[in-house]
Amino acid sequence: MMVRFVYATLLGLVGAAVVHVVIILLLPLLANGTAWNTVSSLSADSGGPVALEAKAQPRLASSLDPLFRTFGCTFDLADGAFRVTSDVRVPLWTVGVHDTSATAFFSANDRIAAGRRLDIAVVNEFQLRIIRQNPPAELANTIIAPSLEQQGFVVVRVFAPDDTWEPVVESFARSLACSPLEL
Amino acid sequence: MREFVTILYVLALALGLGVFSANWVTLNFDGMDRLAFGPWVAHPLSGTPDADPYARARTARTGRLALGAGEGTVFWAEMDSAGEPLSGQCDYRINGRMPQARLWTLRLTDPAGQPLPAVNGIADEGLHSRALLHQQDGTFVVTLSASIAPGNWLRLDHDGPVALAASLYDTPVNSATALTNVMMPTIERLGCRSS
Repeated sequence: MMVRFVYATLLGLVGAAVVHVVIILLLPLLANGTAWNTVSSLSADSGGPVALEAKAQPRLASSLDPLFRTFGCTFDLADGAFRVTSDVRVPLWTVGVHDTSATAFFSANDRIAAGRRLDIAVVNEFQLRIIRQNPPAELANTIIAPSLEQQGFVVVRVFAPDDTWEPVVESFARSLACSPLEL
Repeated sequence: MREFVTILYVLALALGLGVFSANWVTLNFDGMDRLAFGPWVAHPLSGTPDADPYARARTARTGRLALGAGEGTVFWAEMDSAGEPLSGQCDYRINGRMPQARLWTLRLTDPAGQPLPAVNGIADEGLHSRALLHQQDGTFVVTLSASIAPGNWLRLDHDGPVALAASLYDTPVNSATALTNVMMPTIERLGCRSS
């Protein structure tokens, strides 16, 4: 009886470890309310770049700096390569390219961009090969972000500490475009 | 009958303990990339491709949107330098210097990272390094208090615990080589209001 109990307990503990590992590994794939869910549900309505705001998206609030304006765009590389641009120069922007588990697999800031202008293209392996073989002239100053996944989202953050910066940030936002890239 | 009870026991133990431990660990375990400098804690790998499975599960669970390595890093403090939890009913002095960064911001939140409710309709958005008074030796002092203080000041008047978020943008702190000699400012409690 005692042996049987000890044996069953051991078996249960091993089972618990398996259940634990399975849940931990599946959570990023199955969880609702991830940053990807939030951004994709927002941009499904508008298509273009959407403003990510703490008040409107409380689940993102802890990730948003109130001294920055944050924008998001979703992409699906199965529809073609993807490009995010803005022609307006601002003192500081950062960009993060995230996959559907919200992992930022590529990130940059204005210091590595030519002319400090935001111009980034997200491409899958196939599209990257096309660009490498025949580099388009218009992409000469474009940051290339290779993606292993087809779907994901781009987050752009712009430093906007007070109202005096509002005009330049506003024109940056107006110029911000998320568009398919013809190769 | 005895077999049935045994199988039931094993299944209950496996499912119960497995679900409970996974739930607990995603809410309480910080991940293996936890870096602490005094009271300041950062998770530089969370939300990046190098994150461990626990950090990934936690990111999914909390719905967080981490800064990428090329963007910056956020340091959180929930305690002062003496190890006491930060309270919205106390005054604090933050003193020292931040690690090298092109820009940093400092803001107060609740312990979950949510913005504090606006007081008299004014939401305090925080301080940033480009509009900060420095001491002659290059260090800075920030006062957290309910009433306005000279120098760098953040209003702190909140029922309950609070947290501090220091966001560093375009910083070499993210690269492993720079992590050995990171200096973060101290957080010293000046006094508390009796409530």
